Amino acid sequence: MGVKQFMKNEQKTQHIETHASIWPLFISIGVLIFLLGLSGINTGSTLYSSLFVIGLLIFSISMIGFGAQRFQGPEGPFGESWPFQGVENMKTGVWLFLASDVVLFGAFIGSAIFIRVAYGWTSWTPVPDDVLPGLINTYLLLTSSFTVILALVATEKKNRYGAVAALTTTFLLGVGFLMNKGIEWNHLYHQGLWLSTNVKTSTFFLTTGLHGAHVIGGLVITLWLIYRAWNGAYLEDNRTIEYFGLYWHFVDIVWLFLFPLFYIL
Amino acid sequence: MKETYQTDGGHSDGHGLPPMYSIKRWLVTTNHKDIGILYIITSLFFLVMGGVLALLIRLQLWLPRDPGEGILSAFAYNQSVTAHGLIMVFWFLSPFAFGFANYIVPLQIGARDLAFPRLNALSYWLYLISGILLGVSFFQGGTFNGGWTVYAPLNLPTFTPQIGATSAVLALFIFSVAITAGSVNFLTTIHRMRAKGMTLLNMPLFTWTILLTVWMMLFAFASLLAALMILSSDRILGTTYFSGTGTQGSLLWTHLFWFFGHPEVYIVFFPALGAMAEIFQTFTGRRIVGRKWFIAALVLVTIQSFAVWMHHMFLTGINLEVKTIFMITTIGISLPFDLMVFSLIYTLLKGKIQFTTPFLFAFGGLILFIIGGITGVFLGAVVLDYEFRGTYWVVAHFHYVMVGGVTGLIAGIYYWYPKITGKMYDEFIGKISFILYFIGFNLLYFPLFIAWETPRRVFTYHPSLIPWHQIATIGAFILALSFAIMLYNFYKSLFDGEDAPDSPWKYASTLEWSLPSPPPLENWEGTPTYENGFLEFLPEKKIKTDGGETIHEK
Amino acid sequence: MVSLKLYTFIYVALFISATVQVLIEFAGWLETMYWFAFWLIIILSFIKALLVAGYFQHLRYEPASLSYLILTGLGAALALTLAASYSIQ
Repeated sequence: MGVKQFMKNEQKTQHIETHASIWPLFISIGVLIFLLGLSGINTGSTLYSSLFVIGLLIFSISMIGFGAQRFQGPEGPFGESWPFQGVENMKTGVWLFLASDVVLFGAFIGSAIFIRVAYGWTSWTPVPDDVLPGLINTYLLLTSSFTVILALVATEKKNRYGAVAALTTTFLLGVGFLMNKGIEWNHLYHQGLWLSTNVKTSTFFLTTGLHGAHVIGGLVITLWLIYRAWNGAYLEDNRTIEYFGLYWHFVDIVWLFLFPLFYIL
Repeated sequence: MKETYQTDGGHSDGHGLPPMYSIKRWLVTTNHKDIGILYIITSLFFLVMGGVLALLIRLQLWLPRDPGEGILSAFAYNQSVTAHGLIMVFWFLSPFAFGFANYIVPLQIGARDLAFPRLNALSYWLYLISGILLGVSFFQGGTFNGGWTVYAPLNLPTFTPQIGATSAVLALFIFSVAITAGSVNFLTTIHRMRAKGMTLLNMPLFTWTILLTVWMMLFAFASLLAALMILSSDRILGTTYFSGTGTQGSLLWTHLFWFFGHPEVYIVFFPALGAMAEIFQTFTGRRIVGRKWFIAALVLVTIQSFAVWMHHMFLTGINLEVKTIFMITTIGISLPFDLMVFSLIYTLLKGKIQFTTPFLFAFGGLILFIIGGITGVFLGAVVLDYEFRGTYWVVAHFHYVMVGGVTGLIAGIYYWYPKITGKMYDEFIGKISFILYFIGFNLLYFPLFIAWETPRRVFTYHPSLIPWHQIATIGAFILALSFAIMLYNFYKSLFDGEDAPDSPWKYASTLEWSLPSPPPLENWEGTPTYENGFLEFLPEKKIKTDGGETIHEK
Repeated sequence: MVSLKLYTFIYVALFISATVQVLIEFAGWLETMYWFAFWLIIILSFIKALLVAGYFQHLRYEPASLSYLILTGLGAALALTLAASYSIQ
């Protein structure tokens, strides 16, 4: 059964408020197997490597199932909603998640700052010798934020092809960001600078790497959005694009701080 | 059981859910009451696991030992101490509290479920697998053995090379992810989905404490997540955050960990405090004295909890100025607690007390928390902490406050047991369990104050302290017995207990007590509202959307 | 709804600010007057963040509670970083 048929079946049941979903269980099983594999990945043993891959597979398939499932949670409006009246549940949830992500990145950046203060702030030079790849990445990410806005505008105008084009551009710009980063990291690796070289490279690669992982996550979601937009979704209700935009702009904002801190200052 | 099996999947009580006696039901449910039950049962399992580890520790401490003597090797002892702490703090305490939060909070605020039911289920299953991962870690060369605070550089493979240590860190990591998802869920629910007329100030105190707990969780666990991700990177990818910078590496960990760690102790205690406040109100027959001030004090503690963390670091290389600042903020945070304690005491004095089992545990919890709190003040003074740090004074202090919190949650489980199961527990056995609990608790932990000079995390101590440690070990077994009796009571009453009415408690006034025991799947018919000053259920409205579909506005 | 023109204007402003930050480095200000250049660059980053948050993320037009929420998170992260850095002076 193809994904289309699967989703059609799911859509048939969408008007019934349902209390059941198998996906949380399956996602968790995938995570368990993946983490078990990750714990011993450095031993190089076949068992741990297989667990790593199988877990990732189960996780990915279950996430698609979770995303594709038509599930109806409690809908508003509700009686009392202070101070989030006028911000519906999903948007409130996304902003709460972003607030937590701010503290997460804040702690990562703060760790880098703390280590640099301990080292002696001004005796520390940035890891990359060339600031240009970083600047290009800034341009790419800024533009991709702009194209998400364009996608939102397109859906408001009920322009299906416009939405798909804008989302695809976002995806390509994001891929460009990652490729550019890949080239840059490869260059650094061949200079003998890698994760475990010293604490300066550790902070550089891990912090920008965490950001890169957020980019990858966003791009996976973008693919899903392109697929759905191609089939005409979001023209009536574009909130999903708006919520994705909130996440994507956040990822952009984080880079706006990472770039000066790790490339210039 | 009162559930019926519906096959049509239409607008009926079944809604596609299998009946409660089938395993499939529990694997696919996203209903907040089901998930609450799952959390409570799973966390009680971890309580037993952590408790067994505690008994092993106490047996090892029966006499001072040299490495190799006693029932535990040094390596096994260190794992036991570490795992006992991790399991009790993370895998028992908060999930136990959140079992109640899941079940009770939507009922108290008039919501049909949490805002994101599938995310709620995901939080539970991730919690379960994180616990499984921790269990597996024992078999991967031993679990982490560097203490529950996972200090650097002990947390690095140089000193803890076993794979199980990495698994333990990863387990805690995914647990923290589950918690973050849960806090997003509860925050959205409590803020956005209250019944008309239930302003924040009108919310029941248990819901208030859960709200503040999840606010703390949202920000605190992000710091722990960062710490754990960096540690995982150091262990797996070979980065050098915690090793490559001399003393600053270990200091980085302590900052990240304790910025989380201090709010964590309130995260763990607040739900118990909320349960205690509800129970005090119900069994004194009156509203808590100074209710608005009580809420204000809770809010103050929530905010201040993020400004005291360096009092866990008085013996690190931080400068004297910052230690002084944090000593002041630590004194500051004791003040709202004073207000809350006085408020609870006055409520008792002004009310007419019914000495039911929930009340006994709640009152006992208050006494234990007061003792623990007072001893914490000593630790907050920098100069005294120089003596006490790393000794059993700290151990005794935090067990009084934290297990004092557990006492409040046990009060909660007796209190809400009729609502959740539809049966009354055995009151006589309940009271017996309380007496044994209180005696066992104090026999276990009070001698640890007297034997405070015992250093933490080793099993060698001065022979003059032997009698105190032996009393403590005996107390531990009495406490364990009280838990066994309690669990027996809960199990037996499921079959033998009297059927519970909507409200077995005369003066209980929160929404959950106006519903059947247990409540039906959809909680109620219609929409609850307080807009006219009292509880009513307005009939469901049916509205049409553009596409001509009917949506039931609930 | 915010107009496409305004969005484009903000995008261009972001583009220029990023370039200015690099130009500050190319002008050699980090060698001659490090801390002045440092604060200039950091403040430019904050301005960019405010523009993205205020307009792209629409915060200017949303209830203030969302802005306070994010500012609280930022405040927590800053408090931790600044206090920790101070503690080793």
